[in-house]
Amino acid sequence: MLNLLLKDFKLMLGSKQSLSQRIISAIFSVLFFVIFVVVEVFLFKTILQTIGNINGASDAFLTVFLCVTTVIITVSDLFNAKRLFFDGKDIEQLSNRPVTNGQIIMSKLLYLFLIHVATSLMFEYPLLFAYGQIIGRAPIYFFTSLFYPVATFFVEMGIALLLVYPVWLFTKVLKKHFLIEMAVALVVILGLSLAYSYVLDIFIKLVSKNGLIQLFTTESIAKLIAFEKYAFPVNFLSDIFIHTKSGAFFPYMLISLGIFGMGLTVAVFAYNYIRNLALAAVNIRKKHAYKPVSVTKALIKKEFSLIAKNSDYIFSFTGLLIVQPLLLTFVVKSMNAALSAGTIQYFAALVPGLKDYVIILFVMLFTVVINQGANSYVTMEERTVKNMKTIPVPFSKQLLIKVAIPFTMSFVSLLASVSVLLLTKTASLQTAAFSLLSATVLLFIFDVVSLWEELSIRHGKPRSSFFSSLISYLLPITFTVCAVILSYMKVSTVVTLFGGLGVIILLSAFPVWFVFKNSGKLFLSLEAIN
Amino acid sequence: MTNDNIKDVNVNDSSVFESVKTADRESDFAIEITDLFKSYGSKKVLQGLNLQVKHGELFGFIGKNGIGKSTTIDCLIGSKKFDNGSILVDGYDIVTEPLQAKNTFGYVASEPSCYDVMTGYDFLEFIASIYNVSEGDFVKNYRYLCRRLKLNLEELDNRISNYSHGMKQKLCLVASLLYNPDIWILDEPTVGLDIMAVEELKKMMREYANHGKTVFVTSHNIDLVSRICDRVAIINEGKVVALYDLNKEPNRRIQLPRIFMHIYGEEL
Repeated sequence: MLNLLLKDFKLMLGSKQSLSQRIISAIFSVLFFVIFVVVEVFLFKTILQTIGNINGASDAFLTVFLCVTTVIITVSDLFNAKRLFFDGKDIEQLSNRPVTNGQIIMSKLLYLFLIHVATSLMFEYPLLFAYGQIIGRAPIYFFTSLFYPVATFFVEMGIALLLVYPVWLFTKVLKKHFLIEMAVALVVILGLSLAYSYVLDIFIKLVSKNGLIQLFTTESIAKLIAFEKYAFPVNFLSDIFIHTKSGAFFPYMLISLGIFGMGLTVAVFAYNYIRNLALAAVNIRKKHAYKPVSVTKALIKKEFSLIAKNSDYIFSFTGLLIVQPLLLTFVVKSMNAALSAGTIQYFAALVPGLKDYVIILFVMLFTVVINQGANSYVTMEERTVKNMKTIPVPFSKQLLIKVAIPFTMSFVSLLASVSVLLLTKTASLQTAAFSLLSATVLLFIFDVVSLWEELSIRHGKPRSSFFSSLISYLLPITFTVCAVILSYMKVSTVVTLFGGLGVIILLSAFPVWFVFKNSGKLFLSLEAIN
Repeated sequence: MTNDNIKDVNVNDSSVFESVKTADRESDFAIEITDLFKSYGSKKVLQGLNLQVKHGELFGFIGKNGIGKSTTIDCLIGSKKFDNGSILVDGYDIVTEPLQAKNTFGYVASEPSCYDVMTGYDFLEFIASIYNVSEGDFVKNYRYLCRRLKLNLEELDNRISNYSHGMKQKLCLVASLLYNPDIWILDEPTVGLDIMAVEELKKMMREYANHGKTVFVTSHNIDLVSRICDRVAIINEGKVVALYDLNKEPNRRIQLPRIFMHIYGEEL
């Protein structure tokens, strides 16, 4: 069993990765953890120091924070359990080893327990520690709190195990149906944007002291204190660990072991069922089921294959797309603050709507600069350009698919960013709509010009990115300058915004027309390596 | 139904080479190149090249290095635009009807051009989808072709980046015939192949032509061309300067190298 446990730990640490990859991965994990814990403890301490004098408020906030970490850790447990129990390769490899099913399940549970305790110690213990420090608890409290992660294991892991099979089935369905997967991804992105905007709003209010007073009114604190009673399992745990009510221990253990027992039963049945399915599938694992798909689908699949293995996409593009809403909101908020302070405030008053233009400028800049990581449409083909030229598919269709994928990804990130700006009230509806419109237009122009640069690669020389780089900075700045001038001349904001957008479209109309007209010729002239 | 559930695949059955389009041929010639001109800047590579390849012929196109063989093929397959002239592939103009023309041929470049990030199987699936190959034909063809070229079926589950040059070339050869094209165009196909694969390829080219299909091959290997081709064209100064019916030449293996050397002002 120890060997089985070690095997799972080795898999977790990525034994197939090189030492340098593992070191980098470990550094990033530690950094993430440190940042998370620092922010978490900072927020918690700030709140407790401010409203700690209100009766019951400290306990209520501890409960709220522990509830949040409980949800996060339960989700983490769920995905750990899914990975551990339903890994087809693992099931196949263990099937011909002299180990019993019971040993396999026990080793996996032990692994989950250790990971759960470690995670809980990292994320929950600092909260309990900070609470004890501020409230001035006796040393025994700091010691007994160390067992909090053990106590949470049965409930959190029980819920995770109850959900693990339905989640596995759901992800299987998603993998089979691309459109449903896209729809779910969109809903998740929007949900995360909303949640993110909410958290960001609270964070910014917390940072400014006036905001904190606005946020925590007597009514809101009373609501939180009332919530404490229903916050299962944290209400029981706080009775045991914080209020040291020994009477809460047995009911809690009964409930938690009941949940854990149910979860374990479901997980064991599901594991055996999947194991039988997987073993039956071993003999046909390498068998393929080719189904002819449309040319468009085949090309999209090929593009995703190229994208998935391209480090530029993963790190400089996809990664930045994910953080774009966060970065943009921080930058825009800072710019808004700067424009509302000191002498700049005076100049800002001369140009009505200046803040809006600055928001639009940054939305455009962020969108195109991030998209730069994904515009090597032809370069990524390398030698296979010849395939593009010899397959019986119109070049226009091939190029359209190549450009459409990063464009769509950028657009989704742009939509999320603008939604966050709107939801956090950083931008008005009008500004958000114009940001979306102008950044989309700019993205389109930028992608067309990038395509032209890609199609103009000759004699094995690297692509020149001069024009696309110029466009990514020049057009947004031109837009802003035009808007500022018009605004200074007391032209209405809507007319100004349309005027700025009109200038962008006018400036780029000829290059876009040129690329569309000549793309066929350029594609044929594109050098294919023999 | 998984592909492997199809039990009636006879991997020794060369019927995959049989033409399905024979009755619909648009032209008397499989390939018809007329007055082809192509320059790179001031360098004139093709200067009025004319060539006609009949259906069912195994046609060799030879010439010394840098003389314009690959340029001719690039123009033929629609990969390069040319300055003047016309190219008909199975009766379709490569400039005005490129999609129809490209549907008629399978092409293999001298350097393998397959997507390193895909598995061999994924690449074949991609090609099959592009050419709308049915499920049954796909299974029959890829298994047959892989066996012929000694490309292990299990290797198809690995990423192409892990393949050797020869394996990549074999995969490209399989992909080029997967959709049963009427014309098989090969540009220096033996580069990087081991001797067994070269011998098998020679047999396959011959069989393909025997099934009424057209094979158009360029090679530096005069011996290979002289052994298998029906006719051969030699290119010099941007034109076809010699056209030989090798079936009418009793000492073809001796004569062809001599003629080749003579054309370029050398003696054997």
